[in-house]
Amino acid sequence: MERIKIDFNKCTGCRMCEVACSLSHLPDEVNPRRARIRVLREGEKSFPNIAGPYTEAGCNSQLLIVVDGVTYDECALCRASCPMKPIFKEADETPLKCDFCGLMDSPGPSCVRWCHSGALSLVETDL
Amino acid sequence: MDGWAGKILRVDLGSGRCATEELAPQDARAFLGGRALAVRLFTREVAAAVDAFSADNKLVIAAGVLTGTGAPSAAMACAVAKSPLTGGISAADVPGHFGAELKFCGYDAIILEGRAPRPSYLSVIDGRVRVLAAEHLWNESTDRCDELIRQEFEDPWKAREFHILSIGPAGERQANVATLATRGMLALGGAGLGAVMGNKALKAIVLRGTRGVSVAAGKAFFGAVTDAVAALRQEANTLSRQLSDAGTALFLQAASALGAVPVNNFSGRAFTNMAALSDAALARQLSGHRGCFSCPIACVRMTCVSANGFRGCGEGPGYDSLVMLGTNCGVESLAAISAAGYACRNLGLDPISTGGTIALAMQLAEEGLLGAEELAGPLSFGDGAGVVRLCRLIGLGKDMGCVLGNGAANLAAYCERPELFAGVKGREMPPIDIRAAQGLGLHFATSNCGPYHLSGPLAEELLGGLDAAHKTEGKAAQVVLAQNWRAAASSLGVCQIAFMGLDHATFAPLLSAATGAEVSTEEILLAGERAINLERAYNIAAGITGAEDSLPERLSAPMSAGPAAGQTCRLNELLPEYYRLRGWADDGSPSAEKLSALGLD
Repeated sequence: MERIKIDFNKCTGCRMCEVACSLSHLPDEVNPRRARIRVLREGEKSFPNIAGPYTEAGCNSQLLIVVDGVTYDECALCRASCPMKPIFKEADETPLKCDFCGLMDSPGPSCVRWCHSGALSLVETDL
Repeated sequence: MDGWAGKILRVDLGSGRCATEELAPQDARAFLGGRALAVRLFTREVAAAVDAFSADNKLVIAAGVLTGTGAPSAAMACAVAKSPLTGGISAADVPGHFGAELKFCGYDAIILEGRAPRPSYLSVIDGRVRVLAAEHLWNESTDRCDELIRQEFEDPWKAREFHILSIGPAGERQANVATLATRGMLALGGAGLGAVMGNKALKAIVLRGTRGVSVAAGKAFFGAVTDAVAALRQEANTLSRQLSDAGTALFLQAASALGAVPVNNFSGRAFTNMAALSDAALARQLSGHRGCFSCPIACVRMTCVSANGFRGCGEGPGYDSLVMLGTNCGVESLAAISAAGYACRNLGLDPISTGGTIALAMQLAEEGLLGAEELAGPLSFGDGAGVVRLCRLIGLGKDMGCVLGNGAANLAAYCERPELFAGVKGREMPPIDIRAAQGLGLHFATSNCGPYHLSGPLAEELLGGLDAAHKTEGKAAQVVLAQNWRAAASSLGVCQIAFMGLDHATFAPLLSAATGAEVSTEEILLAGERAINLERAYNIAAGITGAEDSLPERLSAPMSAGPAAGQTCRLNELLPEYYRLRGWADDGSPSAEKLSALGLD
């Protein structure tokens, strides 16, 4: 089964993925705010973040996580469509979620097609 | 309107009043956006006699027509104003994500007029436009200002999505070498614009938009961009691949082979010590790559240094810094150059103008005309720590930093050595010794905004081989075409750096699909030609005539060493042909026929 692999070390923060996603889902509009992938900038690094499940409430405990020796706010890296954050939802609060566009008609998700740095790639997994 | 937002934001900083106006469809079609549109709006509203530091000067920032659509490398907005450095019009592209966000706020352009009564910043957030107090941001570096603005907003998650353009302390003090900054990136060739923004007491512009950019034919547009991105992966695209890997530093090898890398204030010797500044040396400090909005090339390198007492992290160094903060100051320490580059970004200093001034200061110090007391220490060519120290002096206005902040032309006059100034029309020479590149010599002499390499045939000259660079045959035509194309690129919103690695034929189909209008390559090029002719007519009215299309005395002697030894500028062989091809009179002024043909009368 194919999954999108994210290598944040390669992400340049160009946000082509956000544009590709919005153009693939909206009729004739480019709007990163309505994309199901968003690139988060944390310090000097950029993290592509793909929309996941909707949650009705924010977490009670907001944790910090350490990646490569650098501490990040877990909320920032979380994929949920959550009331605490303005991402992964339409203006009327309808949640947005990645639908793995292009799976049936190759070559696959728009965000991966437009990513030139190799931060997003399609990999085969057994899951 | 498809492609364009269709609206212009006008801000009267004196009263704080903001108004939204329509972008006239005929202006959109003829000038597209970016440089041509900003120049059009500016020259229509600001009289040529207006002083750069008058409240009647305006700062116009126009997003490219393709900016925000996702077209490859279409990230730019062009900032235009009367420059205190040249006394004429100046246009500089703002990289990063600011231009795209302007479109997402629903505007093609912002016109900033008047002067705020107290330090202020412009806030355009979720449709609400306000001029707010910025006393607490004044004196802060560009990084710190960015941080503070985000921290004080009530919603931290929305604040993460802000895109901010700001000036540093140098801009606040109206130093001529001050430029505009956006999250670690500097306007391309923006010296003087930071001073204008500072004169208006405007510290920053903060944008957060929620609108989309509508595209006429979404599927066709998506397909065209997909093809353009796929084309970049092909073997033939070596320049774009090199830009992605090495950034603009890739030009150092090529320029060095031509003998075109200046040393010691354009002394006539050429830099050849590639080992010190090799790709391998640069790669050792690399910590990542950064890209502007929708740019697959992503040429900005993130680096960290910790050597010889220089410590820090940040963007660069690219070609401009390697030369202007490096070789032209006699400095070959990568750590020092990087640290100086980080300082320039943080303080909002243009590396070319700042570096050019420092190189001149080094020469003057060596000749005993500037003392250690004035410069907070001794200074001479080759002093890397001295370059970093002077960047801070200039950025913060300490000791002689105030005088140095007004640029090299001013410094040369101050020390009564005008013949040592390496520049044109009062603006410091870009990082190419034009005795080794005849076409760029013509371009630098004739460039309306003062000499700047990205707005002319940079790749054409540097990558065309030694013989071609030293010849004048065909150069006048090449320069006219390159200048028009670069101005057109800026009007599209496409980055001038990435433009060198992209296929020019891709833009007409992209623009047609985005706007729904049948636009040809010729029309795109015309927008660029219009920008240049409007700028030229404006400058002439401002007193900058064809007599200023010259090269400085500092470059009049032949190159003394290197691959271009013996070469001189041969501008006189090229200028008459250039004027003829442009449809300009012998004195360099646009003819009535030319202006009429372009629809500019």
